[in-house]
Amino acid sequence: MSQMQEAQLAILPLIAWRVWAITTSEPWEGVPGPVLRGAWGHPWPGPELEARCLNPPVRKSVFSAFLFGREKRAHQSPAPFLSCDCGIYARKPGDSDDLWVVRIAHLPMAGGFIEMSGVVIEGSKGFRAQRARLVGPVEVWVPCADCRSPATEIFIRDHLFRGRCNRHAAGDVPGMARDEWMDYVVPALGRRYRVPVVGVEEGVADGHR
Amino acid sequence: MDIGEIERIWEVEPLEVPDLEPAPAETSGRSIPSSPMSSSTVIVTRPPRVTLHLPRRQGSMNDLGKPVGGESVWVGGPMDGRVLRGSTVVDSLAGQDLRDAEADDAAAIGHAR
Repeated sequence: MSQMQEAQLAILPLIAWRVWAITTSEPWEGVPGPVLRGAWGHPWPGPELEARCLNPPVRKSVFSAFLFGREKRAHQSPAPFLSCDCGIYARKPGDSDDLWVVRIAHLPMAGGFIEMSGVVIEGSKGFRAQRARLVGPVEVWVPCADCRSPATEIFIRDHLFRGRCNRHAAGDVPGMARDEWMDYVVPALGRRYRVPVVGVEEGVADGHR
Repeated sequence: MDIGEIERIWEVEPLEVPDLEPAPAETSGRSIPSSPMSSSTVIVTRPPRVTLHLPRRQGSMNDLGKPVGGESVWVGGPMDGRVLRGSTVVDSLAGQDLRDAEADDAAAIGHAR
């Protein structure tokens, strides 16, 4: 590695892109209002987050191992842990293998940049980080929960925001017009995460249909 | 969720965000002027300190011409080019498939921190 390359490595912070689901917050999650959540539902209460392993204790049952895959062990060491899958995930530009995006793609989504710090494991497709800080800007978009085309209306089901388009509109559940919902969510997210937030018609990760 | 084949392990000290809140008006019994030019407006920043642990199989040369991952482990330095610290991460993980590494890796990471 040349001296110039080394200098670049030292200057550039580790920045990566990721997505969140936008949901309502629970009473015990601090400031009320919309909150960003990772693919497994973990909330980001503020602009900074430190990872900790949330894997369940040892599952000794063969049957449970069959259901849930290889056995996992909770660990006390800092996340990310090499032989675990814990940590704050972010992806590299151009990576299209976003299975974790598909998992939340039926919910209102946000995409933005984070600066990673602490121990950061870099893989060929993305990162697992110990600490992350939102550095913005954050894009917000709402796909239709049924077809993932841009939603025109947002309603709440099972305490979650969900979008629907004109084609899948259901008259029995009252909803809020998309623009009206954006007027509520965009400034609220900006206040919570202290980054620029903008509503867009269709998100970058929305190609995963 | 999958980040693919592990390529590097970074250790990054975050860039400190200066606290822009004005300093208390009184410190040690002395009154500090609250003008815009007071010391509370001085912003001190420093570059993030980055340490890069390269797996041995991605060996290269350091500034001293020594091979990375050899007996002396390459360590990425801060802005002034000084070597920060040594690391046993590379040695302890050399030759292993990192995805299948076992619990001993925790100690390695802990050592690196």
